[in-house]
Amino acid sequence: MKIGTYLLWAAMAVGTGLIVLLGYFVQIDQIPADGLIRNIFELRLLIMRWAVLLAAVSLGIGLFNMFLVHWMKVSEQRTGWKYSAVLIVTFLVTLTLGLIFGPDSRVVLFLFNSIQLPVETSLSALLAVTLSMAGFRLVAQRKDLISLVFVGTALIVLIGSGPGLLSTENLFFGFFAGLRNWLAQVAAAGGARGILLGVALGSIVTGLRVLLAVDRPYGD
Amino acid sequence: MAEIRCPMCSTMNQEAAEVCSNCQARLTPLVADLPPSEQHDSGAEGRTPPQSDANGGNDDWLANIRADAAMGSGVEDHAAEPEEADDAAPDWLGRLREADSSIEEGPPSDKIPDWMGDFIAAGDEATEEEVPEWLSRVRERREAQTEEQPESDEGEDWITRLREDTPDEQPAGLEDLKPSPDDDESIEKPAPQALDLDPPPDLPDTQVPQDDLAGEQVIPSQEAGDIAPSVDSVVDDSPPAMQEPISPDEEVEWFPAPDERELQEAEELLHVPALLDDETGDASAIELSDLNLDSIELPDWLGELKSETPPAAEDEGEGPDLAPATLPSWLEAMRPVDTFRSEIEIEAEEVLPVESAGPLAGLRGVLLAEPVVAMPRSASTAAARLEVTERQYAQGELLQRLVEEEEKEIPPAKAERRRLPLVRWGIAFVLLLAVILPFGFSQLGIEGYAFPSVVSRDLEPLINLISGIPTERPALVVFDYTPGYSGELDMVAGALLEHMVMRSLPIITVSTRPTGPPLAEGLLNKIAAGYGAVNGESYLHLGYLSGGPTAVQLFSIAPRSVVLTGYHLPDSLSEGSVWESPLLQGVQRLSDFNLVVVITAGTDTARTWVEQTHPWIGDTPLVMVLSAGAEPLVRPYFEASEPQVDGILTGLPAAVSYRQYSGLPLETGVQWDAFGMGMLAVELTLIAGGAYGVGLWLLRLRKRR
Repeated sequence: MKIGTYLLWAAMAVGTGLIVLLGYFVQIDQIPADGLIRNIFELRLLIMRWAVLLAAVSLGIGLFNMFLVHWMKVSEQRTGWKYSAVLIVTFLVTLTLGLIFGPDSRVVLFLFNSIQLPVETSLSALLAVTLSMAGFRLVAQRKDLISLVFVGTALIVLIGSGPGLLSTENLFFGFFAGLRNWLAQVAAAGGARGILLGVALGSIVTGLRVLLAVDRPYGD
Repeated sequence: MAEIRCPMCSTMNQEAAEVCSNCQARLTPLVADLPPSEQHDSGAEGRTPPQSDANGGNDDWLANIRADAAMGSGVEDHAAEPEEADDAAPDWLGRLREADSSIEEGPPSDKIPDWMGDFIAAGDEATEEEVPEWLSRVRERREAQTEEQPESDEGEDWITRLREDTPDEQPAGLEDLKPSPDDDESIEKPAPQALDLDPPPDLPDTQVPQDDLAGEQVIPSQEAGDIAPSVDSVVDDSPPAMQEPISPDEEVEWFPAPDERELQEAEELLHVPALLDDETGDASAIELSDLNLDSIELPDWLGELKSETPPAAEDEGEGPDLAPATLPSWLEAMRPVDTFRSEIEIEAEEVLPVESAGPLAGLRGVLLAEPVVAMPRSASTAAARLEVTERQYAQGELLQRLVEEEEKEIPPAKAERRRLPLVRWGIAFVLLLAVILPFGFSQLGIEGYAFPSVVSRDLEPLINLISGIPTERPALVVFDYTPGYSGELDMVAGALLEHMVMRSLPIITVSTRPTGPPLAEGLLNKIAAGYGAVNGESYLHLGYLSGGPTAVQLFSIAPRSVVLTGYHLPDSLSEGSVWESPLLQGVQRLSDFNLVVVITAGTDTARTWVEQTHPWIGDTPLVMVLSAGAEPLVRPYFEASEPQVDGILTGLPAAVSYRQYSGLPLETGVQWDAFGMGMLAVELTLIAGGAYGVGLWLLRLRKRR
């Protein structure tokens, strides 16, 4: 075990984490213009800028890695290499146009509004078809209690969410709308609170372990 | 006190010890004593005194031997030396040592090790127990060779070759051995010759030193003028197969045929192998039986002569009268089954060699490892006979069947007929038709769905909030959704943004997703067109905010340090910074905005904005415009006792209601009808699926009945 290196990395991680964490407990309006606290606050901002910069660099590295992966796939002509070739061509074209004309130029906006936006919207629309098909198969092939509860809940929420089987002027629509709101705001929200509490506790524990140098994702 | 060095581990042991105290190796070779009768007979012809004279008449027979040996011998001067040993030492040994010391020069005195020096010094004044018997034997042997040399040189030097061919193998460390009185019990008693030496008084009568016996086998040859008896005596212990008679025609001319008397005498003599290495002169404790006669090259006449003696008679006469070995019943039961039978027959004990080294030195007929390990064997029939149980037999049959089936060629399976996904296509067609049909309702004269009459209780506070926001400072709108959700969120967020634009509330957009800025530009451009709003005057795009949660927090603390350029800026700001815009005057942090609206379809993004901006957002209200799927996870922030989210707008019905109650134009009729028809199609699909399943269940139930 490299004691010296380990201590150095742990000290840097713990110090950085504590400085950033202290910012949550300080009101920004109450920070004096000069003094140690102000300097710590400025150091905290500096560290966060570095983090943002590194995030941007990581995005660039990710793009470069994606390009290399698909380039190798095309070079070795592995399965689906034609799609990789299309990706590389479109990537290079978009990148070139963006670098030349800028990301907010009409050319890039045209490409976005004409290709990316319809494609992604269509993929989302397919989700509705897929979910409908899954619901059909579920009630047609699996006839257990859980399946019936699942499909029944989905049907109630659909009916109560908007016009469909029942118009909004229908007398029963109010019933289903109230039932839907109860499901969404009580049952689902209760489950969501539990999930959020779990996530919060997990985040706290993870953060404390990193701050106490118990977990060292930066390595030993 | 004299000690013996172990040949195996060189440990010094007591003189009387038979086995080594360290390694338990036998120190004295095991040699079967000859019967006393043979020893007496071997002393015939007056060379060996009778046993009765061994105690009292030693001087006589020793004197005779000395006289015989003195003839033509080069050691006569030494033999005539007076006895100088003390009373305890045997005279004959001391004289022998003295006589032999003159023959063998030995190594220089300075090169003699200490122990040897002591040994030699002790030899001069040796007592009877300290006389190195092996040394005397060596000297006797040397003396005999010197006497034989003139005759052997005259004819064939086969004696020399015989000695040369004699194996030089000697037990390791033998030269270091000091004889002990106990050795006399196991080693044949030598007969003194050529020296006037008294035999040791304590020696048993039946034992004679080997070296002296060797002298005996030489002496007759000297007297008779030939060496046939002595050589024949060597052959005496050879295997019977080598004893082939030689015809008189094949006799060597220079070597006359011995008469029967001489042959009988020679056979009766005790014989010892050459114990002296010609080169080193070391003595050897090899017994007579240790001599490997196969390696000796003998004249033909000797082989023929020896073959005359039937080996069977010798075996019968010399073999012990022992009952055949029988195994007890319990041992017989434990004996392993004779599965394998060696092809090598075990030879007779007399033919087997004698172990010359190791703990088994001196033993004859030691079990050999070669026939068991290295020699080929054949399996008997009993080995192939296996006892197979029924279960093993069944398993064997199964294995054989599997192997046979493995070799069979499996016919190619018929490709299943690919079934068309008719159900999937049908559902997709129904959904597509349901979404498209509302666009023709107006032409077909079909009345669409009515707008919702029930307003959510969450909607009124939000409308009041947006309506009460002052317009001096801008509102920040975060476009954190992907183009895939633009169909839903553009409709929902459009109502809120249109309300803000209608109130001339300056809008500043930002996004943590790369696709956010163009979506913001597209939506605001569409909304602002109806109200005469202009980019740069009514709204402004800060652009992409990279860095995730850290960037959100940093943006909340110091937005000017995170966003530098902006997106799709007007010409007046194209060369400068976005922060030079009049819309952003006075904005130093997140709390300087009048309102923060987050449009997102992901729960993580909504949570990030809620949690990261909370310490620095101040009193600025935070509103969430969400997809219907993200509402449950964000609602806890809205319904808390100290809410971190001040308003939620989610789903198309809520957006339509917002438009209704905020006074915005209802231009969403087609979308509302399409939404309603799509919901209807999905509901019908689920109902149809349930009906199909129930129908199948009933059919199966009827078939069972």
